[in-house]
Amino acid sequence: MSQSDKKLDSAFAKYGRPSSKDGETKDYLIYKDDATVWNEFKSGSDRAFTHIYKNYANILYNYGCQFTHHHDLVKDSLQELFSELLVNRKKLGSTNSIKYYLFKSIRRKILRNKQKEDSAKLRDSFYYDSHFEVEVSAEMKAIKDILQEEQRRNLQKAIAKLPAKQREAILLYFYEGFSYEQIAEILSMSVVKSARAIIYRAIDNLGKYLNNDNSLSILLLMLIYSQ
Amino acid sequence: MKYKQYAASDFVKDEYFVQWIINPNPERNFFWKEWLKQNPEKFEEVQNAKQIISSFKYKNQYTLSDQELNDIFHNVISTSSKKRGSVKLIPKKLLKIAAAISLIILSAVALFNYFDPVVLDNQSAHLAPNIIEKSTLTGQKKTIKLPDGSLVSLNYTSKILYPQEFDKEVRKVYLSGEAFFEVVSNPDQPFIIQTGSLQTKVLGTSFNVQSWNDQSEIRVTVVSGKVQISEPKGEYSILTPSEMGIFHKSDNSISRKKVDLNRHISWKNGIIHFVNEPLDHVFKKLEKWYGVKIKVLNQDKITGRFSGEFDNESLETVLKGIGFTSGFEFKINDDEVTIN
Repeated sequence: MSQSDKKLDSAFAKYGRPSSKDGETKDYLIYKDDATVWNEFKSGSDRAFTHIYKNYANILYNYGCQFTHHHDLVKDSLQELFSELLVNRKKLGSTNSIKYYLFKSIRRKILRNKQKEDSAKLRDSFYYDSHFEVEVSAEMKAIKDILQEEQRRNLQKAIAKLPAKQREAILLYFYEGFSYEQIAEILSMSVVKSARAIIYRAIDNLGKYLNNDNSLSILLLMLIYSQ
Repeated sequence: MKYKQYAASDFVKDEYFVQWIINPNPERNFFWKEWLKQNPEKFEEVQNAKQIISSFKYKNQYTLSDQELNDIFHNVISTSSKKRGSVKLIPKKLLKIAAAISLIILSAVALFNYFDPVVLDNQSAHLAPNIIEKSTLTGQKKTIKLPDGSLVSLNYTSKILYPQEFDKEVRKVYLSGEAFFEVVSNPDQPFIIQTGSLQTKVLGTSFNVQSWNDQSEIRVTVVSGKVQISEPKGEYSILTPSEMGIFHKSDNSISRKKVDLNRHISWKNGIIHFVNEPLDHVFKKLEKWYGVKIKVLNQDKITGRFSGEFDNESLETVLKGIGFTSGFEFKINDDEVTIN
C-alpha cells in the first residue's frame, strides 16, 4: 500500500468514508437538530463534519451545476467550500439551518469562480437559458389529479419563459424548501418582500399562459389576488 | 387559527407548510400531524397542496458518483491538513478500463429481449415492470446514473430505457437518439446498448452513440477503451479510441473510420460544433439544441456553409456569430426565430 493510500485510509478511519452504505458512520446525528450538529462540528467533531458532507455534497453539486455546464468548476467550488469549513471551523458563525448556510456560501463561491474563469465569455451568459430549468412533473399519483397533462405542459412551458433568477427562486422554494427570508438572502436581495414578490410574480406570469377552464388557473389567480 | 380557513393555494404559499412537505423533521411532523388530526376536513386541501408542491422539480438533475464523492472528500481532508495551498482535484480519470478484452461473440438468441423496439415508442405503459425510462425534449440534456454506477449523458430528444436492477449476466439498455456513455468496468457483466437492430457491447469504457429515427445510419464513437458493435446476422466490428463505427440501416452493413473526437463528443459539455456544414443543417441543429423554431424568410440568401464552435453561449450570441460570417440578420421572439 502506498504512502498516500495509507494516509487516505487513516483519514477515512478518522472521518468515516462518505459513501459507505454499511452504516460505518451510523447516523445518530439525524436525531439532532441543525444548530446542534453545526456546533458539534465547530467544536471539533469529525463525525459531524462527515455527516454534513454526506448529506449535502450531492445536493450542493446539483444546485451548482444549474449555474454552469462547467461541472469541474462546480466540483472545485464544492471542494473549496468544505476545505474552508474544515480549516476555519472554530471561527464560523452559528446557524439554525445548515442547508441554508451551505447554499448561500456555495452560490457566492460559484459565481465568483465563474467570473474568475473567463469574465468576457460569461458576462452575459450567467442567466443562460438552460440555467435552473424547471420540470413540472406528474410523478405524484393521486386519486384526483389536480394538474392535467396539458396544464402541466403549459405550466412547464410558461416557467421556461421566466428569467432564470425567478426559476431559481421557484426551485429554492418548491424543491429545496427554503423560506422567503432564506431565499432573499441566498439570492442577495435586499428586502424579503422581493423574494415573496418573485414567487408571486412568477405565479402571476404563469396564470397568463394557462387555459381558462381548469382548477389550477383559479388556484393561481387566488394566489395572486390574496396578497 | 388561520390554517382552518386555508385553501390549497394558501397552503402552497405558506413556507412552513411547504417546508414540512419537503423537509419533514420531528417538530414539523408533530405540529402538522396533530393539526390534521384535529382538522380532518382539511385533508383534501392539504393533499392538493402537496401535489402542487411536489410537481416542481429540477429538469436536469446532477449527481456525483461515489468515486467522485470520495475523491473530493479526500482532497478536502488533505488540503485542510496542509492548512493552506491549492490542491488540484485528482485529474478526471475516466472509469478504469478492463485490462484485456476478449472476443465474445454474442448470439442473438441468448440475449434478453424485453425491449421490443416496435412496442416501445408510443406505449410506455406496456413496459415490463421495473424498467425505467428517461428522455429529453428539444433544448434539453440530462445526465443519468445507471444502477451499476455507469453514467449516461442524454442529448436533446433522446430516450433511454434501463432496468431498475441489472441482470446478473448482462447489463442491457435501450437507446433512441444520442447519448454519451461512461461505463463502469466489469468483465463479468458486459454492458449492451440496443439501438434499433444494432447492438453495442462494452466491458468498461466511454463512447458516444447516435441513433436517430430519421437517419439511415447509427453511429458509435469511442473515446476510450474498446467497443464491439454487432448486428443480428453476426457481422461485427471492434472499435478503438477515435474510431467511429457506422451501421447502415439500408443493408445492415458496418463500416468504420477515424474521426475528430471534438466534433462528435463536445455536445455533452455544452459545446456546439460545426464543421463545414450547410446553413440549413446548422439551423436544424440549433432548433434542437435550444428548443426553438427557426423560420427563414429569404431562402436564396441561405447558401454556403459554416464552420465554428460555441462554448455554452446563448442562442443570440451564436446567431450573431453565424450571421456575421454568413451574412444574415435575425430576430428572436420567445422561442421563434426569423432569419432574413
